[in-house]
Amino acid sequence: MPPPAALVRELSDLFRDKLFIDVPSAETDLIDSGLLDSLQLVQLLLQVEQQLGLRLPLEEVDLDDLRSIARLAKLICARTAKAA
Amino acid sequence: MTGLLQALVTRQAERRPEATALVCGDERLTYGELEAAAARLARVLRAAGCRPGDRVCFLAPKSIAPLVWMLGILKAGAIHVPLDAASPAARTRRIIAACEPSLLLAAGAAEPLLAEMAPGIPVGWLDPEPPKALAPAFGPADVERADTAPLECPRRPEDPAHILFTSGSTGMPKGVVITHANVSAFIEWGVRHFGLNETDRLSGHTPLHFDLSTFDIFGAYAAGAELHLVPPDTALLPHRLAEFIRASRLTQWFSVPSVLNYMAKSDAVAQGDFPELRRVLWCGEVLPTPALIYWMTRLPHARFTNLYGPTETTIASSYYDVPACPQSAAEPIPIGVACDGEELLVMDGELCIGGVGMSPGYWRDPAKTAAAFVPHPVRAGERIYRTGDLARLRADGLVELIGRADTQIKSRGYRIELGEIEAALASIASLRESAVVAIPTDGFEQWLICCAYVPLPGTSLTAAALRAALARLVPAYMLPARWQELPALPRNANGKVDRPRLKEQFALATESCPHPLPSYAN
Repeated sequence: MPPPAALVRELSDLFRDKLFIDVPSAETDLIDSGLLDSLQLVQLLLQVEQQLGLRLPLEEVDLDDLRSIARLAKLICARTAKAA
Repeated sequence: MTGLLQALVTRQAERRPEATALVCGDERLTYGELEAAAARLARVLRAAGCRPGDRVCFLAPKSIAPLVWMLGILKAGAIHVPLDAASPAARTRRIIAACEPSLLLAAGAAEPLLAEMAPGIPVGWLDPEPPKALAPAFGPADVERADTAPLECPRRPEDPAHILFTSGSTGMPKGVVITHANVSAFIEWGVRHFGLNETDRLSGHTPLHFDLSTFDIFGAYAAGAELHLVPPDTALLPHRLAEFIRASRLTQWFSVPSVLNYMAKSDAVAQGDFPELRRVLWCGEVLPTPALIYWMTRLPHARFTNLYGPTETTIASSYYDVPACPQSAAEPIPIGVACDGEELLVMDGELCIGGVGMSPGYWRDPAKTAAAFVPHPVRAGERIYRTGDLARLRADGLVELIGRADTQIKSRGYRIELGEIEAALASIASLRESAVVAIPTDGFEQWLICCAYVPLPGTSLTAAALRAALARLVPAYMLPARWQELPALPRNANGKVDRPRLKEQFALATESCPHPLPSYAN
């Protein structure tokens, strides 16, 4: 199931307003494009926790889950569903 | 030994040709293969017009190939200039223009950067398929066909081996010229001090344009050890780094402190982890004592050494073997004492370094060279390098760093002149003015770069748009993490930008935004 468009939009806004990164599309590879380095990655997880209330511990995430906004949205959906 | 760095590999290839030299992912190269591949490339470089003393730039993500190129360039008697494949085209183009190379070597993922850069010099493309718009001077088939018989290489140890470009405060990166003798002196000390030998498996963590990688590479060659390159993706997640150390059964880990701190903060190391790890070394910035306590508690079997030294004096000039786990988190870690052949002097509070590691100076920049490399206060005819680091000599004879005399910072091991970021911002048209400050954090990166900016009247400029514009001019590690749009920059009574006030403002804004990583779990 694709992640809801609202969540993808929320994450794009989070990148723009909190990490100051305009991500071209939900499919953009954040790692290969160099948009996400270790510092941004830590900031991203912090912002996801603060804005969406979901804690994603660094040691539990897989790099591929953070590769794009679409992948991250999918991960968040899965985690939220599990918690519910 | 001839005293040239390439001779280290020749010696291993003669003694133990079947021994593994380089490992990256599934790829491996023996000393025999490395020697032969580099010898063939040297012939192709020579045939393409590269003369001894020429510069040859190379551009590739970290992998085995660029290490072969580096050696081939040295065998051709040329000076290698590693370029940062992650840097924006504008900056890389300026570095290429400054060093006037006779050739540029590139492959694979460097294609888009190369296309954008249009360097205007002959390119050796070392992947089978060259990019469409490129007519390469030579390709892998030419290298395959070349002879492996050694070339005559009329170079002396005091000749330059490489030029490494570091951040320059006026916006133009400075090229630090490093000789074969500079590197050999540190490598000889390092091999002896740490007891490196052919049973060692060393980490290759830092990128190749970064001075610390010189110790990984030539230290491995000198000892006949294996060099295990850390894939760039692996470095993004602390537990993947830990898994890499485990799986590669490393005996030595050498990285910048922020990496050790990152792994400590996310508790990536188990008690008694990495049983084969003999040494943990760091250099490039100050390691927070709590991170050291974390590591020393987890790995009681390993030896911990703090290395210190700027690129200008080659890899490191001082060392401190930590004798025992610090008792308190408030205990500072000194940079220790000079390595053999090096000299540390504290003059008017500034740390100066003399001795065998000292670079001949900045590439074609006599003014900057004269300002930083000054006559030795006592010994006529000798020079010392002014580091800009403030330090004190303690009663126990160890040197301790205190801070900086200027606005240079070290963030994640990178040396960053805030002036270079400001100079880049000044070239962005829609901006009226801007200022860049750095504030200390308790995060693993240690410094947070912050930018306050004022758009031109009537222009709308979001922080994200400005960051994107700046990303085309400076490497990602220089990009500010905090942005603030202001109607005007705060100024002091003299009309200068009030940087202390900006720092306070950013510090206040950051306090309300806690760090996501837990403090050290015990």
